[in-house]
Amino acid sequence: MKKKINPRALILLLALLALLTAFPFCVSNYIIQIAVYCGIYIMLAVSLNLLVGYTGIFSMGHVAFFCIGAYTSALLATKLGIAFPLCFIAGGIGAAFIGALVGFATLRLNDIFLAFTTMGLGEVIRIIIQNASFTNGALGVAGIPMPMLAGHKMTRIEFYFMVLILVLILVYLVSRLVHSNTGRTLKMIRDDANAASSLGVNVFRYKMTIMILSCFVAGLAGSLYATFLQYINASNFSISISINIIAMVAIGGMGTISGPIIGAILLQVLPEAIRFLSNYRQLMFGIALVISIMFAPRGLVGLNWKRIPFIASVCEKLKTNNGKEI
Amino acid sequence: MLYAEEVSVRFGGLTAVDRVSLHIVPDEIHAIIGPNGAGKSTFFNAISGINKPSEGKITFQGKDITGLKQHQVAQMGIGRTFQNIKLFGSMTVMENVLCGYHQHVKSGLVHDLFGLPSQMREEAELLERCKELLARVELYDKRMMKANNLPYGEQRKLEIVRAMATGPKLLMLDEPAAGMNPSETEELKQFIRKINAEGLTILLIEHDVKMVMSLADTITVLDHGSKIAEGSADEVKNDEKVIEAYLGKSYRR
Ligand SMILES: Nc1ncnc2c1ncn2[C@@H]1O[C@H](COP(=O)(O)OP(=O)(O)OP(=O)(O)O)[C@@H](O)[C@H]1O
Ligand SMILES: [Mg+2]
Repeated sequence: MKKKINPRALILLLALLALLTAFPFCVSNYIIQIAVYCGIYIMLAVSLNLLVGYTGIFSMGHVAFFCIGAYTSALLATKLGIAFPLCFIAGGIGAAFIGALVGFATLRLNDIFLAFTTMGLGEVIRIIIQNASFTNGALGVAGIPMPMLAGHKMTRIEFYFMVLILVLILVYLVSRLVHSNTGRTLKMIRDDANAASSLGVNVFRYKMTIMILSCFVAGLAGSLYATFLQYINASNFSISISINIIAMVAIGGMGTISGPIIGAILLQVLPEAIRFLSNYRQLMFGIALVISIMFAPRGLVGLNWKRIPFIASVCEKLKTNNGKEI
Repeated sequence: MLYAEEVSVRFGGLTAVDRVSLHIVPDEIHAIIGPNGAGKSTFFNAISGINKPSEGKITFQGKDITGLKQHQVAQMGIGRTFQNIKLFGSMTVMENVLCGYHQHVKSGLVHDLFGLPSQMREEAELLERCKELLARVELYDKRMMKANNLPYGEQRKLEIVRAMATGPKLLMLDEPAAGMNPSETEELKQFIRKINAEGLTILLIEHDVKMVMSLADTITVLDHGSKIAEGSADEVKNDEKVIEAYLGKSYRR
């Protein structure tokens, strides 16, 4: 069974890559900044989707792992002067470690309890960070250095490319994962954990594994965020961020590859486009979430786009010999 | 093959299964019958690790499996289906059966993340085995259908096939004919016979007495959590206590 790659789809993909490559050279610093945030939020949404969308673990505390990644990386860089690549990995590992502890405490609970417990633990972690002395408490961490690249400090454009490459790698790996035996096992657990156990699946072990992996990615995103912003403060990591990430996943489409990507970009870019409403940003996220749950329960990706003739014809052209025969 | 010794399961004050002993011989079809609430499903769940027995001991192929977790029991070679069908609703027929092979897959997380050649090869082999099995049980043509869109009878069948994919030595079926029409029931009967003849030992809970009588080598009758009779179809059919508790007068001779 060899997968044939459709030439048209390939061209589309290359065009998209070209666009993403050329784009930062044509826009202002401000737009590049938004693009970097998009990338960071894609990482967060994709990682949360592994839990919520593929495994049915309704974690409401994802921001905590983003926060731990950011602080781990920021403190190592500012207090110990450690180079970015190590801070980056350490951010992921720190978040994964705490994720393992939180997972151990919560993953045997069922949906609603898990949601509240993770939300509560997320808040606890933030409050500890806000008040501990080694994290500079409410002052936050300032002066986080940009990564070095070939002897100079990375420019914003270079940082953009780093994020872009990381996002592409992440999306590739995740799409591999969800189409493998591991992915199938996660979906089993989501659909019916009891049936999964009856087939020999160690449900708790799989939940732990995916929790650790998901938190690792959230931690990496945190490290990028801290480094790019160069200053972090515990108030950057409130519950509302968790809710935003959930909204991105739900609005884009849970349990799909493209859903959280589209959701993250949409919810990151739209509020910038309608900045005059910025005071109502949180309210709009809420309304968008409600509307999408009511009218598009499977997210934007799950809508029947083919009802629009133009899209239907494009899909038709792309689909020829791209449909996997199994 | 499987020995249950004096197994009891209590829920608070309620004794759902009361000191039940049972011996399943290799290659037989062993049925458990009894009125609603007799504790049949609870006994199944005690074997498969969903409810821990409060007392008693269960051994399977000489190994003590009392109190093992569900997935551990499954890994010992005991497959099962559920009284209320538990298919994976978001998946196709084929994917449901692929899930059954879970414990035979060697590729781990790292293989899966990076799509190593060994993982790709294994997945392709799995697909072949799965197609073979589906062809053998006559579900091949429906392999791309969503499991939940199958007709009811075939959903039950698919659940059995999925359990068969785990490669069990003992297969436990909880009311497989529930809700089926007579022709579906007849088909199911033939199917159970066939897989039994191919070497699968079967433990069966069923309310369809006609089906049980014609299929089972041994029948155990439970009532209010206790075993009240055991034996061949003829023996059980003529047992006063069984007639009293479950079958009713019409079944005598
Ligand atoms: N998890 C539970 N908690 C409390 N009581 C339970 C539980 N599961 C079953 N019971 C009780 O145990 C008794 C036996 O139930 P069980 O489901 O084993 O009966 P059954 O023989 O399978 O009946 P049916 O033919 O209706 O399926 C019933 O009185 C039931 O209410
Ligand atoms: Mg029952």
